[in-house]
Amino acid sequence: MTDREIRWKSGQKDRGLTRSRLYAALLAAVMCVGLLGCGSLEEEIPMGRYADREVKLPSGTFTYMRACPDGSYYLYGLDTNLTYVDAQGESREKNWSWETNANIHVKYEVGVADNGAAVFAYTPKFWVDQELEALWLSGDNRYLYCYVDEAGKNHALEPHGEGYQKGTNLNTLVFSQKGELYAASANQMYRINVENGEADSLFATSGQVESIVFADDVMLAADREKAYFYDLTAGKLLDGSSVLDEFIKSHSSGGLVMTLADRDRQADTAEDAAEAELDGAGGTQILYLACRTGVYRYIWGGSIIEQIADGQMTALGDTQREPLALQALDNGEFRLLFSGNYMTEMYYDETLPARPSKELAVYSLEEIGWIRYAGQLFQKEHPDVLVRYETGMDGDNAVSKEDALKNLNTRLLAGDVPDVIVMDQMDMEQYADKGVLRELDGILQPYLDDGILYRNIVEGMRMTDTEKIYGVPMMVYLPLWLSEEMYLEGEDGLDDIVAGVELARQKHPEGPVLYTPYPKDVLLQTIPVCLPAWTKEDGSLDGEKLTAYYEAVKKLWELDSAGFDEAGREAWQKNNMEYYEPADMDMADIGFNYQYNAQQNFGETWLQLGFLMTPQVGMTGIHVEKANMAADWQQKELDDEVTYGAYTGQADNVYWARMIVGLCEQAKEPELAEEFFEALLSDEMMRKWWLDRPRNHSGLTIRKDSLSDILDISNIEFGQTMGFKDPTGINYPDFWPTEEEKQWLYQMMEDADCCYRPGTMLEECAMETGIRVLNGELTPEEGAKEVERKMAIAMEE
Amino acid sequence: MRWKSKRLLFLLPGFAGVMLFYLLPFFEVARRSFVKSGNNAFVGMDHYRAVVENGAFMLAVRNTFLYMAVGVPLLMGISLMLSLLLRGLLQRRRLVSAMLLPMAVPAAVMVLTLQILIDRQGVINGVVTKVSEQIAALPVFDAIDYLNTEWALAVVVCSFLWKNTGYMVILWLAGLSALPKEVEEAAQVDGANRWQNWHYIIRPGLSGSFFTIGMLSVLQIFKSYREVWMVAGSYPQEHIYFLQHLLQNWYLKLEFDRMAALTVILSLVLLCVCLLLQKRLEAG
Repeated sequence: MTDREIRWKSGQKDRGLTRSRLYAALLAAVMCVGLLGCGSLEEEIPMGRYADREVKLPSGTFTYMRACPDGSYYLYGLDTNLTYVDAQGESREKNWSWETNANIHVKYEVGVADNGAAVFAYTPKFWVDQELEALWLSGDNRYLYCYVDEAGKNHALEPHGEGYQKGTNLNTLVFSQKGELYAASANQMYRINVENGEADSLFATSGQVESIVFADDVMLAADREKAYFYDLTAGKLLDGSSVLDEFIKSHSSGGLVMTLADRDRQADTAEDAAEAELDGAGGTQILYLACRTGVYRYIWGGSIIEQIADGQMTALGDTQREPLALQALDNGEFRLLFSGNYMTEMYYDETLPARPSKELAVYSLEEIGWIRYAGQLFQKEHPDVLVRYETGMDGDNAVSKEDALKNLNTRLLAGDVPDVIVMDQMDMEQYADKGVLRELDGILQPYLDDGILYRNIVEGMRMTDTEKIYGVPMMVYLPLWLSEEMYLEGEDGLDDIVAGVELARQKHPEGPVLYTPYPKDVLLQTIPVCLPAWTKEDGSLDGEKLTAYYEAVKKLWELDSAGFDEAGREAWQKNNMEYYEPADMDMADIGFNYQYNAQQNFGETWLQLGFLMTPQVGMTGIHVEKANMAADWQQKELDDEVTYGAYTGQADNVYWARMIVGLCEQAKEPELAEEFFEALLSDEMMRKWWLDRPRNHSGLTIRKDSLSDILDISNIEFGQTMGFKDPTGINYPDFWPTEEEKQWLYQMMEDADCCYRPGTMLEECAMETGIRVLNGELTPEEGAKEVERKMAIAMEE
Repeated sequence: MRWKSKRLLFLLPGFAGVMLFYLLPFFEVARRSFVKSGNNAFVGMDHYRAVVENGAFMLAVRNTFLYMAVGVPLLMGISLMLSLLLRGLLQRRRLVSAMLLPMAVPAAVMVLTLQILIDRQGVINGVVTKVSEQIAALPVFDAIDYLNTEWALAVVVCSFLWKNTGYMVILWLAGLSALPKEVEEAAQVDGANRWQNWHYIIRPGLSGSFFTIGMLSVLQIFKSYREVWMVAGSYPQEHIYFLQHLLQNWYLKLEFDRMAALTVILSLVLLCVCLLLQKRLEAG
């Protein structure tokens, strides 16, 4: 037995133990005091961070930039001439005459050298090579190449040599500083002699190399998985960098661009101090990488990648734009070309706090371009605020809607409440009932009193039980039909639609009448204009209306199906599969997107049910993503036969509420949230979005002046902002809405007072059961009863 | 006394874990069941009243109880019978392993299989339709959408039995193997028949296993919700709308107060069931 055990057993005090306890108690007290102190100290935020400013691009639409070492650059777009911009920002178009008579149909890829020589990958108007023509005709798009020298003289370039297969598509073309051409196919790197076309096969890659930079005699090529270091003198691959590989793998999904800069020249910039610290790391070059999350630097041969600019606080964070090229300038700034014909310069601003002192949390279930855009504009105007835009289902993590809602609810339960919440696809009543949402009547009143917003649309959001407004749609879609006049003229309800389709079927016994390859499509095209009518004033379900709805859609489906036998429908479905991805589409998409393809293949009735998503291309120009059907119909001079009208289902004057913004009652930054909400409602935010990003289909603004602004043709730069020069293109001024059409639209906006919000339980239930009704598993009555039964349980809950 | 304290000291880490991860959260849930979320105002038994008066709750309780009342005895009975049959087999190990296979089948595969079997265009309907077509005396068979009719509970019970029987057989076999062979042999020598052997020797000897297997079966009933949800969604046919559906839907509807009250009620009911079962077993 030890002394301590003896003392313990005999009840003597152990002085050692007592002392230990004393020390432990003291330590705990010091820690407590320390921790308490932490909270009371005000944190000092260091100053200085990268900000960005937009650079006005020369006239044209650019998708390519070649950065030159002296700060100048070349810009090129597939339908715009090569343009040189010197270091002072003066631009001049390369005056090439060779293109005039060149046998070029479409140019796909380009590589420009520092001296202005260029290589193009293109498809010709007329094939002379029978082998390649055969491939082309079989749908296998093979490029031809040409080299245009510094003087603008065009030479045919026919890559050949060991390891190069004729017809290989070279998708990345880059000139080194020495003027040598390097090109990458989907899995191979080549060096190509532009004089004789001799191609040296350098090394195999696992994917398509997208970025190439050169440091003395070493080339760095990167695909989306890996960085390859290649010794140009010794002709062999060098050891890679696991750090760089890891970075590329995790950051290239939204676009990753890189450039190399000489560190000695960078050393006298605003980042001197940080650079000096890194001097010991060895190497003389810095690799800069830009992606959605920010700008990073990697010391050539080093083992760390360091973030120097936060993407969230610059245009890099914009998910709608992908970085296409990066240039590091001598003064420490960066120049970035983005998709969407947008260029910025990032500069280091010492007056800005390194990170904003306030944070505004904005939440939505799915990514909404306009909300992100608005957040960036708001951030620009409030440099002390970071707008943290979070999405519940961000696409990368494959979270279901239900899981995303559960995650949100858990956060709300834990007190982690966003400041602003976009209620699309969410049950707004539920969140309002539970006190999550703040009443907005006070904020909205001045806008309504002054007639700034469409009162009917805002009032349509008023809760029936509390008589208060908790969310406002920033934009709306309006239901519209489009058809040959005889079918739907004067349409005033679902029965008229059925009658119209019946008539169309009589006139066109074969093929589709509506574009509804699957039963779900009939429901998608009709539910939005019927669903608001299914709920009685007391909140219960109107079974009779639902039964009538199922009867009507069943009839529509039968009429549409009557144009095919089973094999014919299957073939048609298969034929449309490449255009048709139901998982990615919502009801508006189903309504009009891809209709064009259907019309091209089969349609003679022009009968379509859907939503007006943009006013910009004309009332007659219902916007679709890939093509503009109305433009097509106008070109075909069908004006007298085809017409359009407000589409009424079982409910009248329906509008589809989009981007329903609410504020959280327990917001951490309530004043900031309110300011952001008002910024969203501002004319600038609504108008700018449309003028900056025309051809989007976000919807019609609920602000009257913004709507007329975006309909004002003088605000639009055709061929530039709109991105099209082609007079037969979708944005040609001839298709702009007439004054009469505009007035019709304004009136429709004034009349819309019945709100349709997608994603409710009733809708999901009606959709699920409706498919079974259309498949003949249930009668319309049984279907309606089943929905009633399910809704009864939901109501009971 | 000191020895007792030392023993308590050894128990402390385990107890701390239970305290931290089970008891404290449970107490917090219990506290929330008496206050209004948001402002924490005391509301007494309001949430409990709201739960008990809720129509969906009553439906869920009725269905869950029915499921349990049918599923647990069936599972225990079938698995016991199988284990008694298997007990005498020399090659039973392979058979037992095969019976465990359903436990290893991923839920998604099980759901898919179930749909292939019971869908309106599924295998069962197909077979029955063919048979009714072949035999003129039989009436014309209309395909049934089993999960959307009164058959839904039967389907759920069958899938529950299919999945859990093998596991329960193993538990029963473990209990049976612990019985002393000599006693049964002595009884046989004394002329006891099979029934007497079961009634006077095996059944009393299995009373310990009975409690464990009974509790596990009840818990398996609650765990089988995942498959039901995957096959029939959040709002299934009303006969298979269980308490877990209600909890899940309340969570999505931010009904945290009611959820807290329901959790307390469920915990108390389960506790009572456990205590009752234990008491009954102790009483012999």
